[in-house]
Amino acid sequence: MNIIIAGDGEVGLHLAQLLADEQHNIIFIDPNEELLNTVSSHTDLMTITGSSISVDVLEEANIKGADLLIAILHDEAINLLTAILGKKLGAKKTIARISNREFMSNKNLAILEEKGVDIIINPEQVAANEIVQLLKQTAATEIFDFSDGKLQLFLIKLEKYAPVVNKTLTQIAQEFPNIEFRAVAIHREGQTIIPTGNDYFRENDLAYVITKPDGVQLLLELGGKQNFKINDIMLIGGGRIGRMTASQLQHEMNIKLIESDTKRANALTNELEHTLIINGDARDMDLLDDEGVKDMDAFIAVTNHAETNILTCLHARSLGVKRTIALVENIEYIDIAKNIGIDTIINKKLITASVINLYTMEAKVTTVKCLSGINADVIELVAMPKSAVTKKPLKKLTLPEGSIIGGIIRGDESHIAIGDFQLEAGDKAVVFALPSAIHKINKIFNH
Amino acid sequence: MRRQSVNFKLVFRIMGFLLMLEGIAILSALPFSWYFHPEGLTHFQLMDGQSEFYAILSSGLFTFLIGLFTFVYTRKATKNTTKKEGYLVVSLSWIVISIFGSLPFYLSGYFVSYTDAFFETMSGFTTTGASILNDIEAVPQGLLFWRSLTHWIGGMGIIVLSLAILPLLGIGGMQLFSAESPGPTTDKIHPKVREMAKRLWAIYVILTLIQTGLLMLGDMSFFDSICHSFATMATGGFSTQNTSVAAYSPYIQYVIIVFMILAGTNFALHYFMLKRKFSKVKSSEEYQLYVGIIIGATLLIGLGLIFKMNLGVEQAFRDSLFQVVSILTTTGFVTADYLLWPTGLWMLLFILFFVGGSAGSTGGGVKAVRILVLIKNSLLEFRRLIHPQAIIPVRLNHKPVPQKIVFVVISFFLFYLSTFALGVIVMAAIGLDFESAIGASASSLGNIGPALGSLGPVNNYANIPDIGKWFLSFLMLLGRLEIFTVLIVFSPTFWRK
Repeated sequence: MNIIIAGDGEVGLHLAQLLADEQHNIIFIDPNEELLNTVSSHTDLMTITGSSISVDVLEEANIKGADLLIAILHDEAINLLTAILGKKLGAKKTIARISNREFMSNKNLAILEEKGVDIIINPEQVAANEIVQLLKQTAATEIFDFSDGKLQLFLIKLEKYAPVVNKTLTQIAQEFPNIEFRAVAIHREGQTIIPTGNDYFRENDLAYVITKPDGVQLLLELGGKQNFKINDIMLIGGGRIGRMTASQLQHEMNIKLIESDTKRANALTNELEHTLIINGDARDMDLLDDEGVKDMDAFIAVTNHAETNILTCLHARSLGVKRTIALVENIEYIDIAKNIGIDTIINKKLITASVINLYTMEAKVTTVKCLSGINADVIELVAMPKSAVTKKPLKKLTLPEGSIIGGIIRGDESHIAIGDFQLEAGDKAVVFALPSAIHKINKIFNH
Repeated sequence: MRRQSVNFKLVFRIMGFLLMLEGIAILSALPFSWYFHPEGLTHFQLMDGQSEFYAILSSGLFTFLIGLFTFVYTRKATKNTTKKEGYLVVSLSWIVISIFGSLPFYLSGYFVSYTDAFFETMSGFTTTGASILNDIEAVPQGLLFWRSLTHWIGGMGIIVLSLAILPLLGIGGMQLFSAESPGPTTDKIHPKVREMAKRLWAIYVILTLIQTGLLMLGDMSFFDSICHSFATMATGGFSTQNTSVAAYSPYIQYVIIVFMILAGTNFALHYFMLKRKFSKVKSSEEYQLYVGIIIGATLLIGLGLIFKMNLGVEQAFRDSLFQVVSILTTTGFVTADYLLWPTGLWMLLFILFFVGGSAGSTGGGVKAVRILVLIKNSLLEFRRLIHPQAIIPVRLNHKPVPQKIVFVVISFFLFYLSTFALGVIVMAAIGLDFESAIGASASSLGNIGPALGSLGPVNNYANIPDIGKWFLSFLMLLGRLEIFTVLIVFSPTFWRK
């Protein structure tokens, strides 16, 4: 697929690298020459220095032959204009990153589509949605919905006393015959294992589990977890993510939002009537203590500084806050942060990449999630007529190494992918795959 | 130090224009004078208390001609204006039209002195309704019409002033209340002051006409109906009867209650009502407070009257409702002498002296919205103490009110109270007893009318010494023009470069 990416910094860069690894032809447009030099020396892609809203630059990037134009700069106006120009100049599909929630309404989407912007993505909104969901399912570390929640992917950390620890999957299946979930991956000491029946669960494993909504309760019991209700939240950082999170939650929970910039803090009061806005530096531990951080049910740090986010989360953790979520933009920090005990990491680049990845798959894909912490994707794939997956029941199917089918959605029903189940054309399968397997798995879903 | 040149020519030109209009307004009383008192046409003597026709005619013409002369003389005035001209025009216009507006009263001879005539006129234009007339019914209808008309003109001025002009000048946090949303974002009804004024006046005129019609249905004469409508819509309070509205049937009293409430409501809300944007009306917190106070105070006083004064239920609540609404909207009509009520009940009414109507209405006083901001701000202090670094804004209609405006509201309230206190001291020094001094000061500053003590609902201001009348006139002006507008003209910073 020929993809043009217009970016102006890390997000675009990360996306370009990711897509280049997946064997697409990438042309990367960025106004910053230095950045481009480092990119082109590392990655196999073509770079053009210049503005993406210049017709000349777009033509130089062969916009006519582009299957996908992704405008992912920080300035949404430039993104929209790039997409509009690109579409007029012949790009087949355009994606623009926006930050203004106003564009999310159906009415406004129609306007944008008519002008040539096919898809908009709002990473901050997606991040905020994830935070909200995590606060509602407090036992899991990460949760992803598939097909409106008909299937969910949970990431849970196994506690010492969890009933499943030190047992193989087969043993567990015998002990609990009514199981409605399936473990699709185990992350242990930096390694990702796609489990087979003979693999053991160990204490402190991070287990990725596909579950039907009915199975959540049993799943959490087996993982040694308990859901608890969240009432009091402390939110650090009044940027877009913090603001969107607060505005979604302020009617159900007590939120204290700490923002260091006075002007921004004042502006927040316009939007957040039921949130207590505090103007101060979250790195000031006295302030956090005065505001009662130790009595909080959740602590969410979403400032622009990964270090601040990680450190304040650690502080909250040490005071006994049960749920901590940190926004970490440096991908290198993610593993470190997880290892030192922060529950959940939110990363906008991964989120953005997840969303965009969707549109680069050749098979019909409806959802892609890039998981933080491990190098794997969860994809929702639609089985095409006459494709290889529809020909045999699951247990006789040979899937590419490093991939596993977790669950299937057929119409309104969802099924856990076990044994005799056979896919039909039109079924959606939730597939867990390491990057090396992504394209192979794509193939068996196409005919 | 060079003195900043205030554009006096323009200020005078505007005064000239206003005087021309006032001259015409004075002349509009002539038909009533001719109809009710035709023998006055043959009586040419001025100032003998026998006839008023030529007093009205001559002062109308004189006012018009002075206005015309000034207007023409200053035709070369440049249009350069700053806020300073704005303050000056607003303050001067009330003074100037009161000076000329008192001429018919003075020249007719029905008023003892020019002081009395001026007091009555200022009381009219500021929609106060405090009178020095001992026997209103003895005054010919032509003069009474002009007396009621001063209310109506004053009310007209106040609506535009409070919704369109004062917000531009930034007086007393009026930005808050300007037009549309009584919130901090001031999107107006209509962007142009002139267009907005037309719409507001249309509402004002229509409401006045409807009230006149309804009063006439209750067997009130056309003349009395129109005079009472003028006084109601302007929240003035001049009646044509010695016993005020007590002279009329319960039906008339209820009609007047309804229209007093309407007149004390923000006129921008009336506009939205017409435009069928009911949600704006319902969600206005000031309106909720205003209605809440009316209901709460009426119930309390009504129950008090039933148990302490042994009144019938209907009469108790009618008396209570009428007095509460009349005082709260700063109209000043009376149907019962509240000073005869138990002390607790009229003290409750006295507290309402300081609340006043809604902002953007013709009512005076501190204004409900300011009280709302003050109460909210005070209550939030507790939260602020617990969270010293939190930003906890006062919210009005769910929108945060800028800190600056809260400060302005607080200092307005402080000025209001200090002016009231000063007024009490001055009136006491002039020789009034304690209760009357307090009442006179609060009533004049709030543009209400009836006060306490010797100035109660059944008394009048005739016996106050001249100096006191001038001082009270000044208080009325201060209260009507939101204090700052007038005081700023006297401040040194105003005249400094």
